[in-house]
Order: sequence, then C-alpha cells, then structure tokens
Amino acid sequence: MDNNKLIEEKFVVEINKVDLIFNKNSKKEFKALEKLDIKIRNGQIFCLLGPNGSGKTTTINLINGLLEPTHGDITVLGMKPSKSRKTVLRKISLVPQETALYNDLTARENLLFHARYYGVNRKYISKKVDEVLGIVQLKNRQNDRVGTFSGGMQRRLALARALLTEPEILLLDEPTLGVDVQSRNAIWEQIRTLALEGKTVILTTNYMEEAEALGEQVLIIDKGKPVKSGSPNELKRYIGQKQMIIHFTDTTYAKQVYDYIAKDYDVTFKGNQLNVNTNTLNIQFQLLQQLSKYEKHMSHLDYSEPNLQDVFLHFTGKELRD
Amino acid sequence: MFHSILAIVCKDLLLIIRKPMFSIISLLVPLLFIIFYALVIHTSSTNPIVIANHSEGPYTDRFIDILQEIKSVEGPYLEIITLDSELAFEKYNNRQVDALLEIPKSFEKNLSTGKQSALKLKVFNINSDGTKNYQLRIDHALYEFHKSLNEESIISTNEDMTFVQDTPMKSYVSTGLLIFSVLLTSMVSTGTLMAREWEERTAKSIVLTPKGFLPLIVGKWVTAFLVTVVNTVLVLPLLYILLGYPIGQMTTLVWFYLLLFFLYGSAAGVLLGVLFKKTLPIVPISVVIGMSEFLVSSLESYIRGFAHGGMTEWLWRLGSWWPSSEIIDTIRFTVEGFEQIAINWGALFYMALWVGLMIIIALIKLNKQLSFTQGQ
Amino acid sequence: MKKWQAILAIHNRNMKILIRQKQMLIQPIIVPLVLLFLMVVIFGGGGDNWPVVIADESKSVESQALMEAFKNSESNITPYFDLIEMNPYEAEKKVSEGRLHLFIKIPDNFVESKNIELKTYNINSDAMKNVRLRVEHALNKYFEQQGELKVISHQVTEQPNDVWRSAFYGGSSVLLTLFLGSMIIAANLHAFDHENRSVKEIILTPTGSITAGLGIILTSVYVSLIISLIPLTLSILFLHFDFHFYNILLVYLSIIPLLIGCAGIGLLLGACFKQYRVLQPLIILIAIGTYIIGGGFAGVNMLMPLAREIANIWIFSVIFEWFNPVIHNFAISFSFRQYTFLLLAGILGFLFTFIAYRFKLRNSIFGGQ
Repeated sequence: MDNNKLIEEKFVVEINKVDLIFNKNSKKEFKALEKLDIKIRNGQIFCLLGPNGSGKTTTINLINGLLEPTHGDITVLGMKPSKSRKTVLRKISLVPQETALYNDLTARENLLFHARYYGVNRKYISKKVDEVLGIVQLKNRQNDRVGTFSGGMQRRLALARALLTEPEILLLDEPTLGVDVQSRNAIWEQIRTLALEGKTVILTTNYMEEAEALGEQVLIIDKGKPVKSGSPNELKRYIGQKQMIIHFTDTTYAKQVYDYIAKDYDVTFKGNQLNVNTNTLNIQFQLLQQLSKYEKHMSHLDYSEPNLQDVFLHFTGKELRD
Repeated sequence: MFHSILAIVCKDLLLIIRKPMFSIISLLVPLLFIIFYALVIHTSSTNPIVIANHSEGPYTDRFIDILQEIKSVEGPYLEIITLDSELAFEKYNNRQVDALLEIPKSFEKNLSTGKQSALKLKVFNINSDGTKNYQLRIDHALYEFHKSLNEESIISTNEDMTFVQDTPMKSYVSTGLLIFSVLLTSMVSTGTLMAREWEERTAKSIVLTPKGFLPLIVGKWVTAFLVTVVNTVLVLPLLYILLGYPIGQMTTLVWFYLLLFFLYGSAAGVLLGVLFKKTLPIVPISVVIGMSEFLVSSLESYIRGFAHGGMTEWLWRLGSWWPSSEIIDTIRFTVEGFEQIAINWGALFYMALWVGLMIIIALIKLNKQLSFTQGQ
Repeated sequence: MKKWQAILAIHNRNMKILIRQKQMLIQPIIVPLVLLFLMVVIFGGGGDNWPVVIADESKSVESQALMEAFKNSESNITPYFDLIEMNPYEAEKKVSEGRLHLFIKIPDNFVESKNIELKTYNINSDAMKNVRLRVEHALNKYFEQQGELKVISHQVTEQPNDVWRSAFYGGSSVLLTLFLGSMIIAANLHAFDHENRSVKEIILTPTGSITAGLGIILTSVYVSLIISLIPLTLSILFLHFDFHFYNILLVYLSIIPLLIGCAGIGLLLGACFKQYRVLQPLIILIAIGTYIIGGGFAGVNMLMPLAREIANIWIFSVIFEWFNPVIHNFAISFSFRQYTFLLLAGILGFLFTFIAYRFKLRNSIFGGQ
C-alpha cells in the first residue's frame, strides 16, 4: 500500500542526462542518445515523437533494460532496469514494432503460449486470454492463424499479449504503424482506456495526429537529442498563437480596418485579409464588437492555430531522415 | 521455470506440426546419408570384375574357385560379373566394368608342364585406388593359389591380432554414422529452433519476460531432444538392416554416451543459433561439423595407424585431441563386445567441459546481443 | 533488348546479394572443399604407402631378399610400404596402441620355417585388407624373384599413368562445386525474394517475372563456374592433378547446359520450399548423395550391384560418370548421345524456370503482403 503510494507520488520512469554511445572508442562510434531527460508520471500517456532513426526505439530499449546507458541514470519504478531486470520486466510490457507474433499459431495459441511462458497462474490463463481478446475485439478470430491477419489485427493482438501480464507500464513501439483508420482508432481507444485504468503508457510514434490524440506529454526527439517537451497545446503555443483571419470584400476596407486597429492589436495586413493574433476568446469578442460597423464589408471569418506538424517541422527541420 | 519450458516445447512442437517440411528433411538427411554410405561402403570389400577365361582344366577350375572364394570378414573380395570371355570384353570395352582378368589358353598347359603362366589384368585406371585394389586382390588370389599348389613352398604368416576378430568395416562405420545422425539432428534442430525466433522476429517477446534465457534454451533442447529421439528410432533399424549393426548390444552406457552427444550437438546448435541468428548458415555449418566428426573423430582409431607424417597426421592429432573419438571407440568396442563396459571418465569430463563452455559462450553472447539495435 | 536489360539488372542485383550475403556464396565453396580435404586426408590421397615396421631377426640372405621385396613392392603411384625404423619392442607397443597397424617380424629361423610373424591392430576389415594383401603382394614378389611363382599377373592400364586418388577426388570436387553451386545459388536467390518479401516486386515487373528466373540462372551458372576454379586450382597445386587444357575447356563449355538444368531445379525447389532452412539440407543432401553414389567418390562401376542400379537411375550420376573421364583425359570428347542429353538438360532448366515463375511464384502471394 505504502509502496503504491510512493509510486503514485514519484515518477514511474526517470531518465536523467542519459547518453548512449554504440561502439565506444572505435571507428564505428555512434552516439544514439545524448543528454536525454525524461520524467513520466504514473497513469500518464507519454509520447516520444520523432522522425525515423531519431532514437525512439532506443529509448524504449533503455526503459525495458535491453540497453544500458553509457552515461546518466535511468530508473523504472524506482529500480535500475539493467540491475533489476527481472523485477522491472514483471511490471512492464512491450508491444514491439515487429509485433513478434507466431504466424503459424492462432491468435489464441499465441496468447496461451505467452501466458504460459511468462508464468501466468495456470488456473486463470484461459480466462485471462478471453479477457484480453475481448479488449482488443479479436474474440471472433481467436482460432485463426495470425499469418492470415491484417496488420491492424496483428497489432491489436500484440497489445492483447502485452495486457496478459497486467503490467504497470506499457511500452508501445509505433503501435499503429501501417494500420488502417478503423484499427488505429480502436487501438487509440484501447490505449486511452488503459490509461484511465491507471496504467502508464509510453509510446513512440512519428504520426503527429497520434501524438496529438493520445499524448498527455510529448517529447520531440531528433538525432538522439531531446528537442522539446510539453503537452500538445503547450508545444503548439510555443511556436505561434491562434489567429483570427478576417476577409473583406475589398482591399480598401481591409486597409481602413488595419489602420483602425493596428495600434491595439498584433495584426498583419495581406491583400483583402487581416490576420490578428488572438489567444483568448475575450480578445476575439472585443475585436468583433469594435468591427461591427464594418460588418457589411466583411465576407467571412477564419480561425487558424499551429498544428503539431508545424511544431514538429519547426523543431526537426525538413531534411530527409534515413 | 518448468511451465515456461513446457510452453516453449508445446509451441515449437505445434509449429513443427503446422510446418513439418523442415523437420521431415532434417530427419531424412541422416537417414539418406546412411543409405548412401551403406551403398558405397562395399567398395572397400568387394570390387566388380569380369574374367575372360580361355583355359580349361583342373588348375583353371581351382584358380577360378579361389577367385570366387577369396573374402574378408565383410564379404567376397571380388564380384565376378562374368566368366564368359566374349561378354567380359564387351562389358570392359563398353565401360560397364573397370577391370578384366584374362586367363590365357596356355594357363592349364603351362601349369601342367611346370612352366610359368601370365595373367593379364586390364584396368581402367581413372582412380589409383581402384587399380591398387584390383592388383592386391589378384595377388591375394595368386598367393592362395600357390598355397593350394604346394603349401610348403610358400612363406606362411602367423598373425597375432590385437582384437579377437576384425570388425567388419560396415559395422565399424555404423557407430560413426549413428553419432553423425545424433549430432546433426540435434545441432540443426536446436540451431534452427533458436535462430527462428530472431529470423521471424519473435525473440523480443520471449526475451522481454522476467524468465530470462534459460527456459528458452532448455525448451529448445527438449524439443530438439524429442526430434533426435525420433531420428534415432528411425536410424537404428536402418543401421541394423543395411549394415548389420548389433543394436541388441547397446547397453545403458551406450545410450548415456548418445545422450552426451545429443548435449554436445545441442550446445553447438544453441551457439550457432545465437551467433548467426539466421538459419541460412546453420545448416551447412552443421553438416560440415557433422561430417568432420564422422570422418575424423569416428575414424580416428583407423586413421591412427597410418597417420605418419603430412596432413593426415596433423588431422589425426586434431581428431585424437577432441574427446569424441575416444567416446566413439568406447561405444564401438562395447557394441562389438570387445571390452568390458567402463566409463571413460577423462573423455566424459572433457566432453562435458566443451558442452558447458559452448553454453556459457552462448549465454554471454545472448546477454551482449540483447541490444536490439535502434528501430528494431 | 528490354528483356536482356532486365535479366542483366537481376544478375547485377544477384551478384551484389551474393557478395554481401556471404553465407549464400560460402556454402557451394565450403561443402565440396571440406569434403575434398577430408577425403584426401582420410582415404589415402597421399599415396598407397602404408606405415609398417619390419624387424629382420634372421639376417640371412633369404631374409634380406624378402626385405628387398617389401621395399620394392609398389602400386602404380607409390611404394606399398612406408618402412619405419623402430625397435621391435616399441613397434609391438605401437601396434597394441593402434599407432601402427602392422609389425612384421622375420624370425631368426626364417630360412627353415619359411614363416613370418605379423602383429596387427585389426581395428576393422578395411585396414586389415590393406595390410594383409600388401604383405601377400610382397611375398608374391619375393617368390617371383626366386623364380618360384608359377602364375604371374601383368597389369595393362588404359592410360600410361594412374590418376591419383587425390586427383580423382579433386576432379569430382570441381564437378560437385559446379552442380551444387548452380543449384543452391539459384535456390537461395529464389528464396531470398521470399524471405525478404520482394516477390511481389518480381511478379509485377513489366518485362515478366520469368526474367528474374533467367537472371538467377545467369548468376548461378556464372558464379558456379567461377568458384569451381578454387578446387581446380588446389587440385593442380596439391593433388597430383594433371591439367589438360583442352579437356578442361571442353568440360567447362559442355557442362553449361547441365548447370542451367541444375539451376532450373534449384529454382523449382526454391519455389516449392521457399525457406533457406528447408532448401539447404535438401540440396546439400542431393549433392553429397550424388557425390557418394553417383561416381564422385569412386566410379559407379566400383559400387555394389544395388548401388550401380540406383546410380543408373539417378540421373545426376552422369555429372561424374561422363565428365570425370574427360577431365582426366580418358576421353577427349562426348558422344552425340551425351551432347543431346546435355542440351536437353539445358532446355529442361529453362522449362523449370518457367514453371517456377509462372505457377509457383504467383501462388505464393496472398492477401496483405
């Protein structure tokens, strides 16, 4: 009880100033991660967003203990994964990118194998398998071979496998890579439900909408270096404000209005439209009231705000990644 | 631990049943190799020949009888395809046989009158081994013929043999074939069962459990053991039927040694699986190791006698240094009933050491290679 | 023109795969080489001389003559005995340890008894055949020198010199590399597309998927011809292999259609079994089996009747039975029937390729791939 409380109050995963260097002191030396700092709270959905080869999977491998940092500390549930590997592995589950399922076994056989191998109590194995199959909505296909499944179904099954062991932390490596919209939504829904149940979810993705839809906390990572972290809204705000775009019937009126409000608002004049930076609703109302006399010369209003893609490109640039 | 091992075994057996082709081929390889070897082993004892006989009479008959009778413990030295002169030449000229012995018309007359008679041995000498074998066999026939003419005139030999009798070559080789089959099956089965987890990208889900590697390795060993047992059950009757292997004389100790060879093959398989993580190189490397064990270790006690100098001595020393050869001989002598059943503790310990070493290297390698590199 | 371009593109891709995935290339090189090495070293590739210790305790004129007979006993390539100097006590010990197979003692009463004593390590019948028959050969030689041999044998060989056993193994190894190489490389390259999921790309090429097969055949034949130069060179350098330029050239040119046939079989097997781990043991087994019973280890004529029957049915035995005589200059050309067969093998190779790509490859694609 006390222990649980402790976990709730502390960060479940803490990565402090971690460097990871492959083939150190050799010609092939390669810095995979540099000065990585991550703190993840219990029950949070934490999203690692980055282009290909940015170090997302490497970070996941640090958390699950497959890799050890060259410098810095990493603790998972208060333990060092490389030292207390077995204890840490009891509390986390990974859904790897490649799904790691046996194509020639059925969905149920895959889950039964994993449950038995992991050492789930034999009495409850069958019930547990039924339960997780239900969660990922694959009960009706449980006796079909995985080789016949679509990519989305395979990812859902891999998620079910991760849930078999009732982990505290779920590591999802690109959970919706290459799946259709329906499967993606279903997976997102399942992830949200898991988080609501108190599980900590750490996922990697290079899909902006995924990070935006799921991530309570997002860390943009590029070339092994953390670039920016925060909630999706915070990140968006960082690179720009919401804008109200007022379209006029004629450029003359647009110019007139510009002259009228320029001293009070952060506004730019572009042909027959004015772009006004307005971060709160109050400012928008106030402005619209001031402009009521120009109503008949205004054609329509638009609102725009920076999306995560803008944020992402802002921080990582447009250079191609291999 | 036990349940995890069982889970691996059940899963692998299910996969084998679902996709049995590889296992069937793995089982077939040693079986067919034994069949091939059984078919070719007779070349060491019996050589086909045609005889063009132009002579008639008691000396001729006696000589031909001798040609037909000369044999080793394994079988006749010569397979006389025909005694008909015309057919003999036809077969030789058409390259249906590599040797022709011509008994001249004057053979009978010369022997009756005390003159020397010359036989002509025609040989298609594309392989010096064949030429030598024909020459020595005809010489043996001539020696026996002269002995039958006048036993006192020839130089006789008294032989003091180390073993009460010669072990027939086919029986001698059978032990090696049995070991080859156990080794190859265990090595290929374990190696590919291990490598498949990486090749089919399923390893991560197994590795990332708190159970560690031991259930994985032991599970693979148990599955490979079952496959090897099936293989041995098929191989033994084949050895008995084709090569007369005395399977009835296989004692508990022999079975224990076979188990040891299984462990050796499995340990090598685990190491190969971990090193390569691909099935592509495992099969040929296993074949090479299995063949080397068969040709070097299992024949060591034979090679030992003629390995004086050159590459042969070097290879023999390598083979004698490896523990397999001593154990194989212990199995051989036990099965042939030459020696009292005794555990060869030295070789046993040595072999166990190698098995342990290979497993330790595999485990170290597994631990090191946990680094599923980025993006995988 | 476009077809040729596509075939060459596939060939270039294949060459790059083979160079980078060295395991694929190493198999057809290493299997014949290891087999050759072991065969040569274990089955007397160095010659026919058998180590023996002879102790002459008689020291008589007769015993000296017998000693000479032992020394002068020889096969067509080397002496039959390798006489080792050793004292009798040590020699007996070496025999009982198995370090020697034979110790011959000519006793002091040899002249009267006409008897010699042999101590043997009779580990198996093959060793004893070699030992005992050599002794009798020497005894016959002694009789002959004494003028007491009533019947002698004259050997007449087809060629003035025997082909050394090691050279025979060398020639067989070249042929093994050629046919194993073309078959396994083709199968591996075909399986590569399955294992790397690039089958669809091959099927959907506008030049037709068969071009991929033809490209693989080109690579397999080309690479197997190249790698076979390794055992050929080693045989010439170390194994008493007589190099007959015309014969080797004839073999290399005439075997090409056969290699196309083998590559076609490799493709067909690749299309049927798809995975390396199934294909490799199967093909290596076919190769080693053919080597053993098809005339690679010893000519088919030397085998037991059942084996001869099998070899006659087992079509691959023509590889050793037809080409070895040409390699070793026992024949200087092939017969019309043989050429026809070789041509047919080439045509069959193309037919197998067609089947592998037309039917088998398409069947391998299913949803979601």
